[in-house]
Amino acid sequence: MTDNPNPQPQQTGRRPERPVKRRYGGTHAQIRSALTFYKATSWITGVMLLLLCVEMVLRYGFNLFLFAGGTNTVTGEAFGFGFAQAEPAAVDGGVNLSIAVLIAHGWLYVLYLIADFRLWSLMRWPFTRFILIALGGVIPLLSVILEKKVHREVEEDLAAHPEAVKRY
Amino acid sequence: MLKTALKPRWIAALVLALAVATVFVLLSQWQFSASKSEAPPPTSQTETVRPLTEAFKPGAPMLATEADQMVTFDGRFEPEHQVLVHDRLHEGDQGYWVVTGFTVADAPKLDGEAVMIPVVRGWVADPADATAAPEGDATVVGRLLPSEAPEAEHPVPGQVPTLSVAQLINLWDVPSYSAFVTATDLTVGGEDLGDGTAGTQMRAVVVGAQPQETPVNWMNVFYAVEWVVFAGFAIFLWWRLVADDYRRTLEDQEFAAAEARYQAGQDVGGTQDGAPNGAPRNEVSP
Repeated sequence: MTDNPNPQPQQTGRRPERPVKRRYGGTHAQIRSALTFYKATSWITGVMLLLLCVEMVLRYGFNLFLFAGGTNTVTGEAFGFGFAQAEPAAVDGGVNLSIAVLIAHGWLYVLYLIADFRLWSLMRWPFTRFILIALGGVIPLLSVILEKKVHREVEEDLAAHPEAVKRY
Repeated sequence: MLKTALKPRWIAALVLALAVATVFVLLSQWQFSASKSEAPPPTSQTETVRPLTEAFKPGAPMLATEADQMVTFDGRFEPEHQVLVHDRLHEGDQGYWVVTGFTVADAPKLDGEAVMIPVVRGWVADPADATAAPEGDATVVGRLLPSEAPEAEHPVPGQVPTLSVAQLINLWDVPSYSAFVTATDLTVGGEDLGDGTAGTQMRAVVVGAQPQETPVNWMNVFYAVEWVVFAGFAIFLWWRLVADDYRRTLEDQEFAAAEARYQAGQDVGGTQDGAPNGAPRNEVSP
């Protein structure tokens, strides 16, 4: 917690600049990089969530899973790539890509939460906004829509406070 | 900083953060407990021969804790109730299980009818090698096993694809335990016949005790770790919010001072410090 002086532009003038109240948790460059990271993770989460929805319909509606490799349990031939029943197993060995997507989505959502936290703490937004963005990642497509809105707001905020810099 | 943390709202927030962290730790514990399947009953329990009527009841589903028990029971074989289960291996050879219905003498009756249990008497390579079951009062010692699932196929007379008790009940039209027994020792008419395959082409079907190791589900272990991280994050988030509040207090003071100087039109051209020398650097109580 250093008490660094707040650099003020045009210090040569006779009168000091009117002070600016807005402070960020980082530099503009840091905020822009956090914004890019947030954009990437929100798209990834959005796409994964859509995949998950398709998967749930196939799984609970038709008992179908996406498999790669393995052998067909009925014919004994190589299965290759495609949809098949898992219960009872129609494919022996091979990779159950549906389950892989499930696990990957869980961890990619954690990445989205990290991006959310980074942007939120740099912007010093209220806590409710952190929760709002986090929840945006659990409703299909909302993460992408929310990202557009948040992105615009951040750009406007940065443009309105060009001199509001990292305070700590 | 400490003064900020001691504000009632931040103490309340800390209590909330601790509550959330507690829930997350409990969720972690749940995932850890789910990562290990329950161990099968110990061999000291399953390998001790118990009367069937004590170990298991007819008309009830079989639990994992009841399966694999070595049991003994009295009664008689019903030679007319016999099927072959095909596609069974014995030391790598394809063959058949010979399964005969056995009326259990002192079993509780179901709807007033005596209850049967299917007994696997042995394995044969050729259906013609299957012998008729011995008649007369008999005692069987064997392993109590859960019924297999039925399987659809074009019916083969006298044969079934799996040892499904539900299917045998329909086939034989008698009530049965929902389990079967692989015989390891037969006594018929007071004569000990060993495993009952001597003098026949049948081979004894030996089912050993369950392996005792418990497999670990790594997905649940990772979820458990994840919940612990989340619990830590709840506390970290609280700290971040307090620190931010403290900094805002400092900034407000700084801002008020700078604003005052601006209003006064004070010339600070040479000074780059936003806060005047006299401004308090420490937090003031709200």
